[in-house]
Amino acid sequence: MYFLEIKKEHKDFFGSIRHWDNLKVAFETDTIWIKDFSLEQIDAAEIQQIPYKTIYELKDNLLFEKGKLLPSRKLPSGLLWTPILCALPVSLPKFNHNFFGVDQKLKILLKHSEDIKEAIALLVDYEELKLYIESAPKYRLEPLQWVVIDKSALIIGSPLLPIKGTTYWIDNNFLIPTGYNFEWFALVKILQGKLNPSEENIILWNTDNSYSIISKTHIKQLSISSFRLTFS
Amino acid sequence: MNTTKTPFLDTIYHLRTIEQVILYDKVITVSREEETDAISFLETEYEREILDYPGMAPEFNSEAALWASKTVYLAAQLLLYREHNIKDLVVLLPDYKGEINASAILSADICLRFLPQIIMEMKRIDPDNLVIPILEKHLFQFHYSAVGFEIDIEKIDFEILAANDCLQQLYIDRIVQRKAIKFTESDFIKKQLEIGFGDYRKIFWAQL
Repeated sequence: MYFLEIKKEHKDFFGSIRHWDNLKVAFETDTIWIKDFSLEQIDAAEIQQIPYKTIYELKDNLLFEKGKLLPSRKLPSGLLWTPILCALPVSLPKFNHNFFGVDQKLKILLKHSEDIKEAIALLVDYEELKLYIESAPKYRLEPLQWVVIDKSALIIGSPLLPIKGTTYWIDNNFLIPTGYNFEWFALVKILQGKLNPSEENIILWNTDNSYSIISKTHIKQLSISSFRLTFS
Repeated sequence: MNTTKTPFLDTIYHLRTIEQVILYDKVITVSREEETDAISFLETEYEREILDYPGMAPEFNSEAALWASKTVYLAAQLLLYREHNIKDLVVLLPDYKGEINASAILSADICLRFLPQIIMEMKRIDPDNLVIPILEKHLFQFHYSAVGFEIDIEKIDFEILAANDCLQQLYIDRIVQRKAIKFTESDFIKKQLEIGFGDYRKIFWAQL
């Protein structure tokens, strides 16, 4: 069982572990005690980052400093333990009535994202698609729709075709390259309202933050005949 | 009832365009002129359909297409006006004379795909109708048109499919589209389905 001791003035460093809601906190006159760490938590990077702390291990009612063989003190008696969420309340900053930066602008950028999203669209070269589609089973094409962009075809649906190409996932009519998301992804609805207010278009984003607008009426059911009639 | 000078041609035209059999009169003879017109109509229909066929579609086989359209036409006639005896039936519904290959099967299918429904209707009226075994015999040869309907699967020769990629793919597509579970008993078909489905079998056909 591990205990963490820290001086009261360094309380702010707990911000990084406040969300571990299994922890209990007790206050002494000028120190703070935390207990109930799990084994993983006590070795976690968040703990190691906290400065001015002492970690003890409790054995036979004696506190051993972590990794030491001799006990250094006893646990003070009469501590009152409370859950960490209650013990360290968060206060939000007050609304700033004197803020005049309302004409500032955000640049919409795409960033690498760790979130795993299912690919819903595939941008393939015409030649690649031709190799596959000319002998494709009908049932693989039926769930898909497509639209031609220059010499490439954008295929939308699931499951996608087994062809080499760039994949995209969809969020509010935005087709975003897989592995990317908007830097300010919480603004996606607002962005949609600006770029595509009537939602009649699909917007294809490129990794260089440029985008193309595709009218939904141009998107057609994918089939061999549709492909042959388009490229003949 | 409307009168028309070309009952056979009109029936085939309606069959292909609105998928309904309309018979104008009890006419079982088809004039040479009508045959020529029907062939060119069926060829246009075939050309339109092969746009959606995978790979290289085989040539149109006018003989098979005409034979199939006449078979369907006469089957519909016999469903409505039944007064021929068994000897006439064999003459009215002759076997297909040419070689049965991918070209013949696909050309015949333009009309023959409607035959299983006519047979079903015959069975509903009279299961002992002597026309039924004759028509079923035709379907055993042209079984692409019978996929998904009640047919004795053991009498079917699947080897003809392996000879033509286009027909083989169309056959598999039709099995999947009609969810013809009975046809998947064949090892050959099963293998082709697995190749096509890959990892997505559950999505395309959960019950398989």
